[in-house]
Amino acid sequence: MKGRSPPCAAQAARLDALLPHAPVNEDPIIQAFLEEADERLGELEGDLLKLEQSPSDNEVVNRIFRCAHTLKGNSRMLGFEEIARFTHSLEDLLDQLRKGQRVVTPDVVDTLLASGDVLRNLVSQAAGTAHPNPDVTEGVLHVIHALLGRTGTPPDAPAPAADAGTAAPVAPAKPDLDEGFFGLFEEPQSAVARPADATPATAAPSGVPTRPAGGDAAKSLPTATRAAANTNAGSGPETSSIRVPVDKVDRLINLVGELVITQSIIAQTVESLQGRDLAALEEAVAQMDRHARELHERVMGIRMVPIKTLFARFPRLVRDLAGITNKQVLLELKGEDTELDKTVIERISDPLTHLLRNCVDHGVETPDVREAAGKERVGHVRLEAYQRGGSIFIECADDGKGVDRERVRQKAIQQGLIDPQKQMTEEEVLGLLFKPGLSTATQITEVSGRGVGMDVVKRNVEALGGAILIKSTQGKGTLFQIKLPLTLAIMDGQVLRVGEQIYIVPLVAITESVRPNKGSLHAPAGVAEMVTIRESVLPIVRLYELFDITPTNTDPTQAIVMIVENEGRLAALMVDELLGQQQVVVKNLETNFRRAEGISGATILGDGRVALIVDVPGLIELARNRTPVATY
Amino acid sequence: MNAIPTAHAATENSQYLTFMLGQEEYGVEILMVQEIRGYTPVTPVPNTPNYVKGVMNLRGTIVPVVDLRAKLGLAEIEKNRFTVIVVVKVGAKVAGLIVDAVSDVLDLQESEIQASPELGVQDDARYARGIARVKEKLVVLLDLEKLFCQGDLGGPALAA
Repeated sequence: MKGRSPPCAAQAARLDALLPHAPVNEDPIIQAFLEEADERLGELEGDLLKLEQSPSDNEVVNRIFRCAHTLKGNSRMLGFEEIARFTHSLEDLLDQLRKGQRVVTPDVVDTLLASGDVLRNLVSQAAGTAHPNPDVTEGVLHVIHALLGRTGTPPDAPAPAADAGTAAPVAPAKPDLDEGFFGLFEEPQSAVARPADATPATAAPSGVPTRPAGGDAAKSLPTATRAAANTNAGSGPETSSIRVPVDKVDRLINLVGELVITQSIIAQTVESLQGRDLAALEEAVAQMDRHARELHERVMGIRMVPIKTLFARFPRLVRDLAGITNKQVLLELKGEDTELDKTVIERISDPLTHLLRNCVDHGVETPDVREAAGKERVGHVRLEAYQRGGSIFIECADDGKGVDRERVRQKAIQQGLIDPQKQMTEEEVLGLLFKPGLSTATQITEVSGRGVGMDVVKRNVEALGGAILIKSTQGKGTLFQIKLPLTLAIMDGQVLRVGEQIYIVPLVAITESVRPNKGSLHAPAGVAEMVTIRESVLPIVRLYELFDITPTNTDPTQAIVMIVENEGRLAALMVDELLGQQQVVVKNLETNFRRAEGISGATILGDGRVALIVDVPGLIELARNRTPVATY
Repeated sequence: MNAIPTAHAATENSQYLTFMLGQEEYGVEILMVQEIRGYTPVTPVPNTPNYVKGVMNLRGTIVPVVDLRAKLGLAEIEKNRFTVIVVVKVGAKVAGLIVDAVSDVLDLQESEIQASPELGVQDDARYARGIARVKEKLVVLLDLEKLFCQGDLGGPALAA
């Protein structure tokens, strides 16, 4: 028997050794449950915020109830008893809302939101990524039970758990709260951060119901304007989807990319063929070309995700921030259906969170200050995504106090970031906000003011191949605009040749390309050679020297110099020939190899060959290190 | 008794793909070999060791190609129609090895493999996991993990 199966066993043993350690929960059913639970809790939170705006919307209540119910059933089936126990209590409370035995009051919403947080924590525990937090869980349970113990009317005492050390925002009820303030905000597709103090003075007129209210409880509430919020797209029918691991999609993308390349090889071969039946073959190849390209586009599209998935978490963030800072803030989301690469969405999340924090904490003033300045008491924050050309723009704007340029300048001088004598344009002063270490907040608040952040935001955006811009008018507000590439996987590149090698330079890095004339060249002794292009004197970087290859031309007047920019510094990159511009699929060099200086990645050309993508900042750095006296 | 094959039993008998570098025959474990391709020019990558000839396109992934002659300190020769690239998988990374020609697949018992002699051998002894005598010829069995352990392909993934 021995010796018959060894190859197999050997393979198994080796594979075993190669596999990474199994995750905590490798059971696919449990994995699926955890992922689904996570998604459902996200929906739950969104619905709860909607409920806060329109407490009479039975549909939302029903959706929340169904969500909790599904979660309860699934967790019980899989043996997550604690989740089941918790959702059971939550369900009791929701049931009362559903049956109209209880009205939706701010403290009910607070409790429900806190319950969502508890569930998230419990689910993370089940996934093995969080530590148990029984105090919080029991605290919230206690509040739920306390609510259940009473009947329909809003409680007039602070919830018992508010002082039980709960991290979740279980706010004390406000007996004098004018429920009419919910009618303040008329704009659809917006989320309302509940103001800390209600202001009937500015409340919109309420009383004439614009739509029939359903349920007894709802009838007792003014429904005048809140109904408008229900018409937003979020409550539309859900699109069906399947869950696919990203690496499967990536493999598919690779294969389809190859197919497109193979197809173009066939097309080229056919062109060089001669003989009968050629017309038919050409026709077939042309057809295949169309199909291959469309397939490629569609498969690439799988990675694209609407930014809605990211935006959905911000209403809650702004609501909580407004509560902490005692402000009234209305967050308006626009362009939620704009699609972005999944990776870009994941990586833009932190920067956006930070910008929103800034808008609420630094931008929007407190209601009294706003009123004194002749503005609405409620501050508006707009988060908008849209596509223009090959880029996605995300704007985060507030109508707050704007940036005090003089204070920024003083602060920067104080912290030794700039020379006090230096004359600066308004844009330059605003640019200081992105310098590490600068914060204009007079107090370090819970929300911001530690001087970390804006520089990190800029770095993160730039790491994605994007750019960030700030515009601000004092007294009127501030706008941050982020520009991002559609996808990380595709880039607009300038194809060029040096000797026999083909390289790609990102188009965004190139200002212009020229062939220098003799008079514009300078080679003073002891420093790097220079070229004068219009008014500026730029160091020449010979690509062939840095990459150690044989060029066609060593004389700059026979070659081309590309003016490239990195962090405001310009350099003239000398190459042999420009071949054209095209979109390239960016491949990682590190997957199987390692980083190479001056190279940011690779791509596969139409003929199947690999071309390297030049890393402009890295290249300038490389050149600077090689020429000690260079004045870059 | 029907013995359940164990990892130990498995190592007693392994298959090796052998190839030529000059007059000498070398072998690598066949389980690490993904495929064998005819030699096509690769794209050189600047600022990398001389034995890394460049990168190639392996069905959409970028894979480094190492000239095994240069890596083992042998003189490089002109590529010809016998030159092949042996694509191997070491740990999580894939790499191509340029060799003069592929030769054979050997079935070797562990007992047929001797430790490589300590003295009087070329530079490549560092990368040998042993020597096998098959009929009249000697085959140097390469340890690919050692071959790539010095960060050639970057990352600690290959350091184990």
